[in-house]
Amino acid sequence: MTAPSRWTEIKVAVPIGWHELVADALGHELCTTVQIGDHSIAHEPPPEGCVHLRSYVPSEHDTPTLRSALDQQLHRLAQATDAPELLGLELLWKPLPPEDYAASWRKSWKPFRLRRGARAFLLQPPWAQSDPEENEVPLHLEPGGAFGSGRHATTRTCLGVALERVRGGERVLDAGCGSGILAVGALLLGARSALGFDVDAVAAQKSQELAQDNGVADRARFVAGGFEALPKETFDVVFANIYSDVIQAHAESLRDALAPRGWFAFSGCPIHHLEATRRAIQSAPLHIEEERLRGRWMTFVGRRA
Amino acid sequence: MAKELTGLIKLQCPAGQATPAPPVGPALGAHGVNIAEFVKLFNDRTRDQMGMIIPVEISVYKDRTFDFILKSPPAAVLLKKAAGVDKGAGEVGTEIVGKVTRAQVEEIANIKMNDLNARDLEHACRIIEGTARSAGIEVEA
Repeated sequence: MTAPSRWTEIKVAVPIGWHELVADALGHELCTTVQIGDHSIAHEPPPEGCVHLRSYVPSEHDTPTLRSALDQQLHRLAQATDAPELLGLELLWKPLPPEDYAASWRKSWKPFRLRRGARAFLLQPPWAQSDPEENEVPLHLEPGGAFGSGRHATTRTCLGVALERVRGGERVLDAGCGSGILAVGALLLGARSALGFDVDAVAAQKSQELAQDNGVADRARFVAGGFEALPKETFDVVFANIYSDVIQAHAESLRDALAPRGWFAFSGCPIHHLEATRRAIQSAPLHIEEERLRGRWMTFVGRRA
Repeated sequence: MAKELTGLIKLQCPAGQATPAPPVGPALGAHGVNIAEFVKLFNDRTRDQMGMIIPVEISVYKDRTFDFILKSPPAAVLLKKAAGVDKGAGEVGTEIVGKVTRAQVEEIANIKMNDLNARDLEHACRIIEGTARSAGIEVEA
C-alpha cells in the first residue's frame, strides 16, 4: 500500500487523434501512466475537437526544470510531426490535495442490510464491520472487484429468495457463480453443501476465497468450467444468476440438476428477454412460481415440475 | 451480466507496473472501484509485455464493479515493428532509425482508426505519419 503523498496534475487539451502520441511524450520517468479523457462529468469539458490528457508527478518533483523539459518535449513533438495542430499545446499544472489513493476509494463502501421477513443479510466490507443484530447473517465481502459486489439488482433478488426459502440442509448449485456470493449466502443460511462453477477461471478462485472469509469453505466447492463441468448429481436448490441467453440454452441441464421438488432462482434476465426466457424455462419443463422484477431485471423462481 | 455503465476510463499504462498512484487512483477511486484489484489484474494480464506502454479501457458499472480491455498497441510500437527497428529515435526527431512504406502507414492507420477517433483514413494517416516522423521513421513516398 502506498503512503499518502502529494501529487501535482499536469493537464493538456490535445486535438482528437493526436492523444496517443502526446500521451507518449507526456509520460515521464516519474509517472508513465497517462489518462485520456475526463473521469468525471464534474470536470470542465475540453475545447471542441480536443480531449484532455492527464499525467501526474509527485509534488516534490514539480520543479521549473521538469516543467521546461516537458514543454520542450511537446515543442519538439510538434516540430518532428510537422503537425500544425500540435503547436502551442499548453500544460496546466495543478497541485492536488493530499490523499491515500490506495485506501480512499473504500469510503464509498458501507455495510448494507438486505432484509426479507425476519431474516437479513448484513453485507460488510472488511474495513467497515458493524455488529449484526438478531437474525442478521453477516456476509463478509470485499467489494468493488471485478465480480459481484452484492449490489446488482439480480444479486439482491437472489439473496432475498435465499433468505425466504433456504431452510437448512440443502445441497446447492450456483451456476455461473462469479464472486460465489449466492453459494456462500446459502451456506451461511444453513445449506449443507454448495457447488459453484463459472467459465471464468478467476471466478472459481474468488469464490473459494469468499467461502474462506465466511468460514464455510469446508462445505463449498468451486470449479472453473461451463455446463459440461456439471457432475451427474442433483441439487435441492439451483441458482443461475447469469445471462438470460445462457439460461435459455441450458434450461434442460438446469432442470436435470434439480432434485425432485427442488427449487430454483434464475436471474440476469433483462425485461426485453422476458418472453423467450420464460418459454425456455417452461418448456424444460420447469414450473415457474414467481416472477420478481427489480429495476429492469427479472428473476424467475420455481420448482421442478 | 449486462450491466449499466457509469464510467469509461482510458489510460496508457506501463505493462505489469500499474500502481494506485495517480492517475489510476483518482480516476478509479472516483467511481468506488477496488483499486488494488484493478492493479493486480492489470499487472497479471500484462506481465509478459513488460517495458511496453499499454492502452487500456476500463468500464465501471452501476454496482461499482468493473472490467477492462487492453487496446491495440500504440501506433509508435506498430511503426517500429513495421520498420523492423527495436526502438525509435532516442530523442524526438533527432535521428532517422528506419523506414516504412506508404502502404504500411495505411495498414497501421486502419488498425488504429477507432482508437485514435480519427475522422477518416486520411486524418488517421496524417497522425500515423506524424508519429513515424517523431519516432525517427521515414515514410517512403
